[in-house]
Amino acid sequence: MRTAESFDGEGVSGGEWLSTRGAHADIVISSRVRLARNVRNHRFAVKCDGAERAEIEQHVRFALGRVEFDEEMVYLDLARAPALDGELLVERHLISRELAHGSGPRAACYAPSESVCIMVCEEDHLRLQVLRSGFELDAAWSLADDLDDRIARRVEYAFSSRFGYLTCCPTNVGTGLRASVMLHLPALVYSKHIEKVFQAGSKMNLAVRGLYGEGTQALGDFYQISNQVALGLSEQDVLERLNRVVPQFIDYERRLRDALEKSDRARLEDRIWRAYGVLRAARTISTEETLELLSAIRLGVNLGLLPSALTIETVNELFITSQPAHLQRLAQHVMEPRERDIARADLLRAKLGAL
Amino acid sequence: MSEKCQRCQKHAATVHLTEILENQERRETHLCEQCAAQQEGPLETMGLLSSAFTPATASGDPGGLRCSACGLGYMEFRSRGRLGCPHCYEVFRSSLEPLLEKIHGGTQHVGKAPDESSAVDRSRERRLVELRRELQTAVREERYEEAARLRDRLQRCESGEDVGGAEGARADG
Repeated sequence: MRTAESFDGEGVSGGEWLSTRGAHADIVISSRVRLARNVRNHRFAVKCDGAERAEIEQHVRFALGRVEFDEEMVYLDLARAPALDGELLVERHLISRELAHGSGPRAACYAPSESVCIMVCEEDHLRLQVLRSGFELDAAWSLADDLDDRIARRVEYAFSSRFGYLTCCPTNVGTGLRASVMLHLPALVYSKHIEKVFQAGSKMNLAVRGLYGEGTQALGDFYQISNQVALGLSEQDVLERLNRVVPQFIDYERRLRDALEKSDRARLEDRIWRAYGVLRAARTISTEETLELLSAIRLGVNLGLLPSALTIETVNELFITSQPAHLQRLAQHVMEPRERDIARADLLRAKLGAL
Repeated sequence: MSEKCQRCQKHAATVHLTEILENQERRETHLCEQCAAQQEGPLETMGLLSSAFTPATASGDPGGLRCSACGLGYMEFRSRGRLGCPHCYEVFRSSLEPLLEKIHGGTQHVGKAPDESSAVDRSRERRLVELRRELQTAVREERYEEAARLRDRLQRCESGEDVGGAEGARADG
């Protein structure tokens, strides 16, 4: 493990999970498994004073340094890192806004491939996350389970046989597991059937959320489906439930895409080509408009309606790199929103205009 | 750092309420626990977690309960929906169980548990944490000779992993 005080990833390309290697990657962007854990004999982070929090952070840092990971991990001290670096990690879906914007000792310990990230001193002392491209929940769980065991040899977790892994928020207690998939569902949105996903989700006790998780908007037709129950169900039960429901959403989206192509092709093509046109021509463009238009061209690429030189990888990456912190990282200076909108349009033209 | 209670202006504010008003504006209220306990209205309508509680009287008024390990009061837990430490799960157990039942539909953990076979490892880790803490204190207090000794022990204990760490630690302990 190496300690860093700034995010030294490329900053212009995305993590491995953005590739399209996983199953159903045209619809399922990524699968994620998160385990919430706390160190035994300590208060939870919200109730810690500065000294105890520092002690926990050091203890965890030291312990993680002695865990064998498959890749050499980077331990980014967020209390020392520039604020922009925290934002970059949020935009890359590696850490939460709460951790980035928090105060006091806290860190992100991530694999360079960005398929593993451990948040240190967020709401819980450790939040281990594994990310995979496509619909690969079982693979994500199996790695998370294994890493959790390896960490448990170095850190004594707060655990009770009655309530399981003890967490700060009672919604996470038990397995501490949140398994989620990020779905791209433009046809369900265009056809105004997306409400049915929400209904089906709530019937199955699954949460449906927006792009950046809890309390966020469904920008760019992205929806996150995750379990809500952590106590009284085993990890396998939780995964099994998602593995049963998510394919139905995938199938529904596929059928609607087919239907749109057959019954409303001109309007569908018009929408996609207009989006392509604007992205290749705009001189200034907001984040929201970019997400909406990228969603349309993502659908266009998946349906084979756009030039084949444009790949899903490129589109997936633009979702990340057109975000505010990434633009500022690329420009190497802080930018006002208006300036960012111009830089964003420049980036999009450079990436899409040359095709 | 800690702000004063808006009502009594005496105690530190530990209960922080954010209400979304009808015109979508936010109103923030910062109260101490005593004043929060007397507060009517907002606390009672504080969203999912608090509304899922059974009435306080049902389980013998847990209002006065306080966790001895972290100091979290029942009202603070109720308003924030967050626990302060692992011990809170025992202290607030009687009001937690109905809440957990509502959230999860169950109150008994099924699923993985920390691997018992790693208990030996964990005791060595504990020893390492202790040694590291002693080392830091020695450095801070400029007791350099002792620090050097502790550093060597720490290194031996760390590398003792290959030949049985607990043995190694005992040999030089």
